[in-house]
Amino acid sequence: MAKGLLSLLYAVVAIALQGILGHLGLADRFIPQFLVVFVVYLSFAEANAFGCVMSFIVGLLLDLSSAVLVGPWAGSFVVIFCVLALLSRRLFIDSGIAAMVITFASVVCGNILFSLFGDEYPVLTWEYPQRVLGQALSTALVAPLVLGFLSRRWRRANGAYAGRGTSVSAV
Amino acid sequence: MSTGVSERKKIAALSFGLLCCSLLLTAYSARHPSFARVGTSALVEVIAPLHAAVDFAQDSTRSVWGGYVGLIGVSEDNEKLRARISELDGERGLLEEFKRENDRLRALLDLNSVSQLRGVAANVIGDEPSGWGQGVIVNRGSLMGARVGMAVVHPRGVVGQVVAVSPNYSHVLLITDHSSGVDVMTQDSRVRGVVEGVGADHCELRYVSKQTPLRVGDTIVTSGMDGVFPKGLIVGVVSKVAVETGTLLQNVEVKVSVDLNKLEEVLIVTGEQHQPAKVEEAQSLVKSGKQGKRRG
Repeated sequence: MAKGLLSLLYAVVAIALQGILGHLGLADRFIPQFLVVFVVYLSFAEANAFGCVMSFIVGLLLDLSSAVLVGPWAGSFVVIFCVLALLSRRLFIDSGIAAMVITFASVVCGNILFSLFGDEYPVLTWEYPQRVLGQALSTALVAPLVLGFLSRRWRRANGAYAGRGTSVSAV
Repeated sequence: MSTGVSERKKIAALSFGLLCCSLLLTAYSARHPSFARVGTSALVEVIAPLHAAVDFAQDSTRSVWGGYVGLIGVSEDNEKLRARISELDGERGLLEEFKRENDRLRALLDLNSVSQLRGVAANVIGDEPSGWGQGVIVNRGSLMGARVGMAVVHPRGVVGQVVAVSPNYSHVLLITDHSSGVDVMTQDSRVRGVVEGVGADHCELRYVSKQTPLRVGDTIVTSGMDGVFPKGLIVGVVSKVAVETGTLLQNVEVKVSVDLNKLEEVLIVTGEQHQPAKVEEAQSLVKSGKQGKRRG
């Protein structure tokens, strides 16, 4: 219950933060996708049904923030979660570099899936790769900090037992 | 960190189910746009105060920076004089900011009164969070009369359309968004078409046949046929016309007249007693910086 509420709170704050950064003048292509970092975190710390459902829900929240289509981000996040959760025995995001690489790949894949699911963006334009790579790069740069923050918060929410997330500390 | 085989199968099955669910939701919301707005109002109501708080903090910081922090480093000899100058500069900057805000609001009022558009002035307090869509959040909601589907305009032209409303805030879909479409016509030749967003800071004019003469620089105005935007509001100017062989239609690029990246105040059109000629005249007056020429 506590983890569910914490996830929703984080998702709302992340969505607001992404909007605020845009309003403060940061170009869209450089706005970090904090929710993708959260999904990456969930796939390692909560590689179970809870993590899967939460990925879907935070994706839905991001979809709702656009008020256009409901589902593209939710589907993208579920796929990202599923792939990373299934690989979580072989991948480690304990180091900052690993966290950045995995996050970078996740953002790229997430954006491509979003475009495929939502048919939201003409892929064959020069702006598309610029935007995807820009967002992936900025997200990867902040990923170690966000993952470290999430790891601490998650541990606190879990109480004495930190569950599977104890080793997820990228900073 | 070990994930058992059964757990992995469970994750894969659940993910597949949720993926199917999201695809169904996508398909359904594409056919029923109102479905996409379910929940958006609540979400906007939750995140908009955060936007408003940051907006306020930004203004306060700017003001503090101009009036106080700027004094750090002043030499002792000139401390008092510099402090006084800085104070005056801060005040002047503040007054200049007020003056500009006043000019912008006056322009909105001019548009309001001359065009006889009834509307609610609103401040832009946040941007589209996902970074992909083109939208803004404004600080006026259903309590002030905003409703889904209402047009949102600026003295320089059309801004977009309200797509979700909460009691205190509204989500505005800009005309540059992919899912946005406005029924328009050229101001001179009255050729009709549909302006659709392409995600960047410009739009495309669609469904104009190759035989129709269009020139770069032609002004595009709303036709009023879509039932959303009043007739005669400026949308932009034609910036590029391309005719490809093997197609029946022209590729026309439209540069939007409003700088949507620098939106601060907008007018949510709640109703109109429409007089198209006056709308165009009002907008050209605002555009050229002239004021005061009003018709009854």
